[in-house]
Amino acid sequence: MSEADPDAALLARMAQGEDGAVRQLVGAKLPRLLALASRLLHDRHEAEDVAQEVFVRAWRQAGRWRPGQARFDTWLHLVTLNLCRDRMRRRRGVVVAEPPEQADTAPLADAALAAQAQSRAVADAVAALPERQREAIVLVHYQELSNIEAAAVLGVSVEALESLLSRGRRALRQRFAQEEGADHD
Amino acid sequence: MTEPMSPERFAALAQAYGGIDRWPAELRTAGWHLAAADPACAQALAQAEALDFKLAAWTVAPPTPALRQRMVARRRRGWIVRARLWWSAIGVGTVLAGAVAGLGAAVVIGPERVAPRLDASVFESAGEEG
Repeated sequence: MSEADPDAALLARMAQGEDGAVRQLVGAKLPRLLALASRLLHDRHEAEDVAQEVFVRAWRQAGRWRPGQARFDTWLHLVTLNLCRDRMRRRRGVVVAEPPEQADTAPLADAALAAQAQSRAVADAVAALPERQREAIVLVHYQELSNIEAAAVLGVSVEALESLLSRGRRALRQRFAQEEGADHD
Repeated sequence: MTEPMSPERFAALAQAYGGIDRWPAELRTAGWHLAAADPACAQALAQAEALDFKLAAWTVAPPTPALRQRMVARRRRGWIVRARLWWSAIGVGTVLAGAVAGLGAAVVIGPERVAPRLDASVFESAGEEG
């Protein structure tokens, strides 16, 4: 990776124990990592646990970080992805009647209810994809990693990443088309 | 200067990444040119953008301020624990250094003061016996 790591200066400040740098890093990375874990796990509490674990590892690594290999942000994504995979594997051994989801009992307006239903429909569609396609779409579409970064996180070539993305998006388009067809019937 | 792009490559990129603004940066200009020139590419792009729009409906709540504070506090706790470990290490180091110094002193000083006395006692006993 030839471009300078945009987080390098922040990491250096953090390694020196600068409190403001810690807050800045949490402010910049937590929303992204929490979104990634939430989208892969479909469970807010588990996603928060994963984010916390990622930051604990980040604090340990900050002083030893060597710029010039992978970007720190890419590394954070890799750690998050691996922790989510571990939890998914453990979860497969446990029979769960319903996928855990956040219960929100607050009354919602019609528009908000519709938005929530659409959000849930997309989440379900992405969750139904094969694991690697799902991960590729979450990393590239939602996390907006570059193709090179996403391929590095998944440990595949850019060509293989594009293939995963294509197959995933095609499956999603077919599913949405079927759902819309069913709604119109 | 951007290299011309084939309609097949355009379709593959739209299928993989969606709208052109999501493509690898170095391919976007060629993509815009082709979308403007080729109706089939424009249609493939519209399809890809429609899926992007659909996917955007999946939103995730941002972290709460309490969660942010927990993460920062976790780091502070880490510093405190490390500081304690550091001071503990200094304490242990000091004790060990004292022990080593004491042992060293015993080794250096011992043969002069302790061993002769031991020898002396042996010799004294031998003398008494002899």
